[in-house]
Amino acid sequence: MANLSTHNSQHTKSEPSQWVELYSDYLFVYAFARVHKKEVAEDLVQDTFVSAIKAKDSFQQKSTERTWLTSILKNKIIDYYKKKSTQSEISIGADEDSENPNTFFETEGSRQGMWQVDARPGFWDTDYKTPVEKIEFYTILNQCLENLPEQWAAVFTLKNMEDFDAQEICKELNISSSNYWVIMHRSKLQLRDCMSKNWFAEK
Amino acid sequence: MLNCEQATFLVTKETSGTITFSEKIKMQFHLLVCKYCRLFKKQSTFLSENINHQHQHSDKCLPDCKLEDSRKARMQEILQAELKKGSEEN
Repeated sequence: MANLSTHNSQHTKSEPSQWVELYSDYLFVYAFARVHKKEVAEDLVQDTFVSAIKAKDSFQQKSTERTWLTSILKNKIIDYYKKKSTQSEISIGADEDSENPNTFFETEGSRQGMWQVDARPGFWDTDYKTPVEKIEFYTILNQCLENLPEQWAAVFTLKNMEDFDAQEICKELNISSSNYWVIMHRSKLQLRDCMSKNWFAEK
Repeated sequence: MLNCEQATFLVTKETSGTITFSEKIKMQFHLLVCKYCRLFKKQSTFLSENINHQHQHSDKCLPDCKLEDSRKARMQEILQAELKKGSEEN
């Protein structure tokens, strides 16, 4: 048993020339679920293979080859979002963001901070306890995620990726923790609103 | 008394466990009297769970996201070129 984990046991290792055939579909779907853009997901998978070739001697069969490739891809996704969030200042002021005019709450008067009438959450005809099995639901969910401003998507996706907590995300993306919470809050508001209109059509 | 914007902010904060005790009391009180914020909480939890579900069950993004054969072929070419480059260097 012991030598199964040594460097010498090659039997679970495939040739790099087989990687596209064996792993590209899996890796692509993994990437797409996290970057929500087809072209970006394709490029990340390709970069993963190229990096993996260069690092293939460092692969020790502590994990499966697929797990190893997935961990490379995961780092590529993090880098992608890091780059995105440094390309422009993290924008948290929804008012000045013309792409995102939603404020959701009254901005003045006695009802300041209360839900705007047309932004109020309504009932969704769904069982909240079990995951949705309909593919169409995930298609729309992805579109709604794609509609988030890029910097928000960076924060939101990293949060939903494994092994990340708020502190690490702030560090990786170089944002303050108060900005982090504002971004998470606005992302959730916008995502919920988008799903309401496009999937549940409550209005 | 919190307004809805503050309450939903705390709902978001609560999901990562960094909410203070007094914030939690204030939030709970608001949720008791505000059905819209209760719905917000329920629905955003539901969406997060489904995003996680999708991350764990990769088949959930088909058929919209399929790697096309032509793209795969191009990937294969690039990979072969890299392999060739690698073996020439050695």
